[in-house]
Amino acid sequence: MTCTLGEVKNRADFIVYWGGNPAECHPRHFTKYALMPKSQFLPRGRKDRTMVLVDIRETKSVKASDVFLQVRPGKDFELITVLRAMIKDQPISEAQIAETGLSVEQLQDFVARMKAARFGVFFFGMGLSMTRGKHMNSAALLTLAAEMNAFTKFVAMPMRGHGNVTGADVIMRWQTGYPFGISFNRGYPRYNPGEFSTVDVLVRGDTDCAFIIGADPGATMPKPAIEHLKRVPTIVLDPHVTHTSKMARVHITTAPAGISAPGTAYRMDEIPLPLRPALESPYPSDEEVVRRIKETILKKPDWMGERPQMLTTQV
Amino acid sequence: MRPRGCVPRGWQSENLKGPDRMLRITGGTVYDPANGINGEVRDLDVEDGKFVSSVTGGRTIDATGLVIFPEGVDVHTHVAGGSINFARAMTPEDHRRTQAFIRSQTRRSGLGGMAPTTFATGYLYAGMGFTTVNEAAVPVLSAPHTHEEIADIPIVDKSCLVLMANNEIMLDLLEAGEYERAKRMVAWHVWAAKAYGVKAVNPGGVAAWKWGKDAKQRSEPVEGYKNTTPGSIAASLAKIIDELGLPHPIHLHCNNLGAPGNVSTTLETMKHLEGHRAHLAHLQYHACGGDDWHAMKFEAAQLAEYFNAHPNMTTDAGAVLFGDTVTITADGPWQHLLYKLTGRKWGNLDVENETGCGIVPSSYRPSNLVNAVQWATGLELLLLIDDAWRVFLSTDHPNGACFWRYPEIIQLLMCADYRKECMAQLPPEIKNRITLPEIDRECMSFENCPVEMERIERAEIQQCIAA
Repeated sequence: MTCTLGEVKNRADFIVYWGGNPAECHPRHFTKYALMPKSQFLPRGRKDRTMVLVDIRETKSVKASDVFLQVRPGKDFELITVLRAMIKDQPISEAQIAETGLSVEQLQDFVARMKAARFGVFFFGMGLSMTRGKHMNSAALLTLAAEMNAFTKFVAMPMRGHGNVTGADVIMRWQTGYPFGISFNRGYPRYNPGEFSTVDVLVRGDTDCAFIIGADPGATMPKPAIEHLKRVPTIVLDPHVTHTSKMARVHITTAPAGISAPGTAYRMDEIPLPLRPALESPYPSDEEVVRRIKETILKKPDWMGERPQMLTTQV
Repeated sequence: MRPRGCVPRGWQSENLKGPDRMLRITGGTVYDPANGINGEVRDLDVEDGKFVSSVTGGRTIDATGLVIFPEGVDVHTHVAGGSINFARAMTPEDHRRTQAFIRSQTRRSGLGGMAPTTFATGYLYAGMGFTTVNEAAVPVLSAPHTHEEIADIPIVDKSCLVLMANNEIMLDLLEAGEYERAKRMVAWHVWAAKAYGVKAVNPGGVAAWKWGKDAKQRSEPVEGYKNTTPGSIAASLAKIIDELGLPHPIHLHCNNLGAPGNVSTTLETMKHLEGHRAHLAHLQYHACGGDDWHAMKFEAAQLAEYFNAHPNMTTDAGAVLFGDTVTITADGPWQHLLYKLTGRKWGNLDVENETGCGIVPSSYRPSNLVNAVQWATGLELLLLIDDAWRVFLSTDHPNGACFWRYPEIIQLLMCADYRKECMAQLPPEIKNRITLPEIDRECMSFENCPVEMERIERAEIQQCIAA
């Protein structure tokens, strides 16, 4: 249950940020899409919208909210489950509500506001999707949004960050069927997050080479993964000197995408945005470097040998 | 002359030099209904992408024991764009159990299944003898994404249709009676989305879905408007498209998809479109009679009769095959209903200004009465419409079934005994709801060949060999 950000801008009169701090992490989100814009259906802008913030602590985003619900840390899943029951008028014990760190009145008010909305939206951040429960928390919130559609229009959208993550996700999906965590070692794509995700492959030491484009795992990944990157030949394409490029065997400086290299970036709602470069760069684009490496590899003899065109049953 | 770009890659004469411009295919059994060739074993000579009486030199393909027939055209399919990509994300469990294409130096890896990956899509279509596929629903906002996916579908030619019937600017212009400006807007959208034509999905209904509503009645105003009705949107668009002279007519997905009793809506729509060209998409889903799910029966005969008498229309069947699939449509309200009916995963993606899409994985089972009626209706439409040149084989991939299962439908159409065998699995209550048991017609490939008339010049049928 999701929509493009333009829909939020034009229609959403009830906005919930869950487990995120948009005021500091997505500073333009309020003004461009979610809170401030005036539109055909919400002519008074901020005055026509209600914003609820659900988080474990008071952040700078609280000031922008109408209602702040401080959930007990690690109890997001429980809170969502209680809400799913309450919207359907199922019985809930006081103990179950107390566990979430919120009062009955707060939750009743929240449910009443959700149902009274014409168009509601949940934006959920890493405070929900990367804390205890992880994808189960996200799935619960998506289910709550789906079930709210029995009463009014409701959607949910993850607050994604880090440049063009969505673009990588979208392209991997159309080429391989899966968004990330893909292994090609049998000649066709297989998916298993936790086994084939970059961090797991590196921690296990399964690769004998690493090719890193526009990312800095050296700054974010656990120590065993970084140790492995140091051990194997690591090739980095990046416009900047990063933690990863410093330990890499090869660092090819490339033109920064969107500033000196053209292309397409995907916004967090999967809308493609064409990028036109503003400045010239003496460096080649990532695309050009990858293409030239690929051309060189193609000149080598076919290393995979005899194999079937297709497997009817995967192994 | 066919438009450039419709010639399979590598056949453009300027790319070929000397003997490469010539091709000889020998010993195949040729079927070409347009030229009255019915199963003759003969040699074919091609020069510069056209059939000629004879060539000297060039490459020779030995097609002995093979059938040569005109290329297949899938007029309504969903193979590229935000919606099918959403479906891919939602069905990893299916990717794991399906066929896998293995990478080589000339071939990319990929997966088949309910929502095949782009490279696999090209290989699977080409393997069935299809050369042209039409992605039927493109929101203008994400058209660049659709074209990027289309560029990754190899071998076959691709086109797409831009969604227009719920565009808010368009609806506002129609509401204000600004017909000329609406016409220019349609023209701009076709240009901006690099589309081949215009698709209208549930006119007014998707716009209403933005507020969680639907447009059930053709003559009632759309949510948020006073005068604009689903009927007036469809009629205006059909007129605009005819006046703009687009080669493909309005590609219409009628209101009330899948709902019992919707055949009256469909017939009323067809009457509204008299005097204009129109293509009615996946007609099976719009041919339900009865008042509720239990009383649901088949009304294909009524539709086919009207359709036969009105040569301004073309259609595709939207046939259903039993098995697992994932349903994808811009018809958001219908998908919400399907989610409530089945309780399975539901994805919904609304796009600002125009359209949205809903995705629900679904299984068609012979034991389910509604599914059984749908299965029979799709086949009945293909069998009861007399003019085979106006009805296309389609499953509305992946909604009714996946496109790589077309050969199963062709077998059902060509063999009445096989049909009877399959009908034995259907529940007994199906009697009196369908007329499939009374139809003995067996379509030979000679009389039923799915080729879009306007697009393909018959004399130029490209080589297409199916084992």
